[in-house]
Amino acid sequence: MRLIYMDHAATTPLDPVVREGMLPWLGSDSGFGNPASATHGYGRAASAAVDHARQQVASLLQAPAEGVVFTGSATEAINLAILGRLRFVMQRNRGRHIITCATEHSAVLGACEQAQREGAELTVLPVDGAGRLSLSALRSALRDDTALVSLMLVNNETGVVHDIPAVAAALRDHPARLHVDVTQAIGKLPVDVSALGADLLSLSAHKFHGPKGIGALWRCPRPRLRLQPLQFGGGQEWGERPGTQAVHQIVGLGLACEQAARHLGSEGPRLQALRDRLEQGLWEAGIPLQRNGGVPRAPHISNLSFPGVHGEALLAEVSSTLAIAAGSACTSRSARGSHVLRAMGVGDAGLLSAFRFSFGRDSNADDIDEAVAVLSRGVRRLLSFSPLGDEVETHD
Amino acid sequence: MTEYPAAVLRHFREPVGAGVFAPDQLRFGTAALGTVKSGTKVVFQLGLSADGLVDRVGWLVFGCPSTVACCSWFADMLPGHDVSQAKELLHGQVADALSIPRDVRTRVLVVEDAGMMALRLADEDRQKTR
Repeated sequence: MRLIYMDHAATTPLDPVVREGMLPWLGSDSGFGNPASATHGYGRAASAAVDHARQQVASLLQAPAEGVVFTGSATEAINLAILGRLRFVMQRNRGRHIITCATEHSAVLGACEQAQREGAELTVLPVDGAGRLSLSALRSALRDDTALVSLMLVNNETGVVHDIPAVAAALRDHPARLHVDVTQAIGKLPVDVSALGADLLSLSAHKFHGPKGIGALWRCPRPRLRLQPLQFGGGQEWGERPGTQAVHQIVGLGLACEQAARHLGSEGPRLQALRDRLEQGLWEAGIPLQRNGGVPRAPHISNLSFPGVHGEALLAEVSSTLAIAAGSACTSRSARGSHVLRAMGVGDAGLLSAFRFSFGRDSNADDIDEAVAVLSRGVRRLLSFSPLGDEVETHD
Repeated sequence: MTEYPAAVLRHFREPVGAGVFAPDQLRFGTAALGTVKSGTKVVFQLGLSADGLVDRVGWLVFGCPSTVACCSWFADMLPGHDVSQAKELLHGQVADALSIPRDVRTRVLVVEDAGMMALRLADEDRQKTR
């Protein structure tokens, strides 16, 4: 039986156009040059390819290309943004306070905690039951020494969209810089640096049909936002991310950005229709259902709980048909549950039965209908011997 | 997805004895143990015949496939055994019988304890109605 892939927020299949574009840079005849080798044609060709990809990334972000710093992943970009900025300002006594949010990706929370271990002070803002941030809480948390606010545009588990332009407006008269993790937004929502008001943006290619192993940090180039590098060596990427550039990966990221821009107008509405079809289908099936995360939401993510059934049991029930992401509680032997859902106050039954469904370019309506049928059947069977069966609400 | 032993999958997919009886039966015990928060909640029922053999087993479970399989295994294995034999079956045998990995065996204990409690209640009820 074909496995229906509904885990595009984890990673996406490589776009064939991107793959074709990358192949010449993996060849042994001409595409192997080191972009730093300016003394011969191999190096200059590689350098030109890197420059072109930088333009492609910048074009998608509507931002100056000299702000793009290629990294190995979004996690690395996030670490460079947070630790690089905090270390830079702390060394110069220009601040030591970071603000982030409880529902951020573990890369952000982990980097903030590392900064904290190095002497920074950290404020983690709560969210409401819908996963939304309070702007007044943000304003209250701002201090004279706040150096950085780090927030995601689209939550990777729930799809909830933070109002980043409003956050940027709140920071307008404050020296704190704004880092936005746009990893889940690229290709699904417009990501325009100016419109967002961000000083730093991080992203990863494999979330939007590019290759794994390549990400980027965009940081304001005019005036140049200074970062302390995390590693040291050659002068690549303005010295902020030294190391020989992975030309094929960078070319892949550039092409993925170009494709994302090409598909953006049509993909957003199409993915939203698929997401709504799944949710509507499950509601109409009359099984207990809880949607985790309020509006606004990104079009490609739906986080749903099936109260009354255990997530690990439901996963065993559907996993021969559906490739979906369980809330971490369902598969984790520690049963701690998703930190995002816990921050939103989702109860135990919801936490233990939460799944993320996420869609991409290869998703279609037939797959959604099959998912509705498989999930409904599985939930009904598990509820038939659940002691919580009478405690959960069934939708007619 | 977690890989499950074949015996666990067989019982999970075709469970024996799922469901519960009306509780007001003769020589009968109902035990409810565990919590949603801990990830395992079990209702286990067990009835004894007049001559002291297990003749009814029912259960409901909120839990992982291994806990479902444990309930099913007990419902499959317990009928026909007397109280002392049932106690032996309920004490530490199911995990090995189903090849349940060590790191989820605490969940098995919840099912075993529920089974033991239901057996004790049923046996007490049988002693009263003798």
